[in-house]
Amino acid sequence: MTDEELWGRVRAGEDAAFGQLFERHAPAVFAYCLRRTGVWAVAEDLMSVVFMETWRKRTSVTVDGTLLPWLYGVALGVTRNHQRSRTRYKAALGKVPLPDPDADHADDVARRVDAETRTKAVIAQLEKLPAGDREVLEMSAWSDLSQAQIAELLGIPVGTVKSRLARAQRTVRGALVEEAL
Amino acid sequence: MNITPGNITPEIPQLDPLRLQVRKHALLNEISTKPRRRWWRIAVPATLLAAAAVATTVLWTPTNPSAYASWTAEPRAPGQNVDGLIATCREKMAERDRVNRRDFPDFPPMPADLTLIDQRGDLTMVLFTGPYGDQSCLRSPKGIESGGGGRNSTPIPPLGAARFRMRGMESLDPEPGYGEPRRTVLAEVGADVTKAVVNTEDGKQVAATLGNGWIVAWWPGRAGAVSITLYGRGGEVLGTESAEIK
Repeated sequence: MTDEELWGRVRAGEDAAFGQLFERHAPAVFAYCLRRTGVWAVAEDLMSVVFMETWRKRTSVTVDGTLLPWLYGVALGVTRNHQRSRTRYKAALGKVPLPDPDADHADDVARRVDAETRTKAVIAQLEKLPAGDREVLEMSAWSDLSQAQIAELLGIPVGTVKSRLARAQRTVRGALVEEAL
Repeated sequence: MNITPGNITPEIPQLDPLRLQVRKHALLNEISTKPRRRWWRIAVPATLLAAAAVATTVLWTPTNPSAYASWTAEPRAPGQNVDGLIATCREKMAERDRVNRRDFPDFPPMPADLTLIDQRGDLTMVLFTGPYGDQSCLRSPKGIESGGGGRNSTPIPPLGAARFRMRGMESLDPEPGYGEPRRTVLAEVGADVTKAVVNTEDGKQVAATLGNGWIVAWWPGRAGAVSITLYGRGGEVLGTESAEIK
């Protein structure tokens, strides 16, 4: 079933259809949130927040093909100020059972720590960019969205996406090379 | 050397499928409990409107003269003779409240504060508000009719420092014999707003009656509101608000 079909069911009040969309897109949203924040637990919470926000606005959202552009747009918003986003949904997030510490394998924990270390290193480089350039570069690198979709999502012309992307690539390339040396 | 997405795209391990299911179930539990808060506001007015619509369809005939013939887009100062309207409206609201409480004992209290009187031609609308919602009545040559409004199950927080908050855009099919369909816009506004104009889908510009931090505007027909333009003390435009209820 396509996103559009599932979304039609969501708007008709079918919770289960929303669950299917969650299963389909949560991993991508989680990866984006983790790359933006660098903290595994925060990214998990924000992934939930993105879907709760999407549910809240379901009557005003129309899906053209895939729900992903909308989800990335919401994810961008909630990661801009993730403290505020998590506070807003504090009660709901507080009901999510915590991971069972005994069930965690050492390898999994190590992978998470590695992932956090890697993302934080990248975040440190990206923070040197102006916010607008950074968001274009990140969206371009971390999502499958086209430049036209990114332009629509950010509310800017496609030409601006191209110019910001080119400028961001020049800056970050220099930073990464300098770091490597 | 060109930068590639891989340079800034750290590898992310898959989220544990079990963890994903935990999050999914928490999400579904959360969203399944959300709509209940607004149950009163939606279910009761919808039932009343549906009943009124059926009755109107059966009894209204086009040969009847329009109840809204004297309607104007600009309100005027209300006449002196509104006490009877206010008293009748309170009685009608109380009667409706009794019916509601018979079916729903915990129904929120009815609005009791007379907030606005809107006069257009010989048509007078009175608006009552309260912590849980609002209710209006319209007097036309056909009589006095209680219609429109709704209630929340919990008190609605004050507007605070905000300039604008939509509270209702109602489509009403009046009780049989009382008139034709009409739309009403209700909103709360800040103290710096001195005038508000509702822009409708069919191109009308309907000036709202404003007072006590509220605006009300209504017009004959089914065309919805698109936006509301707010004006300040010097006549300057403070902003244009969407008519969407958030």
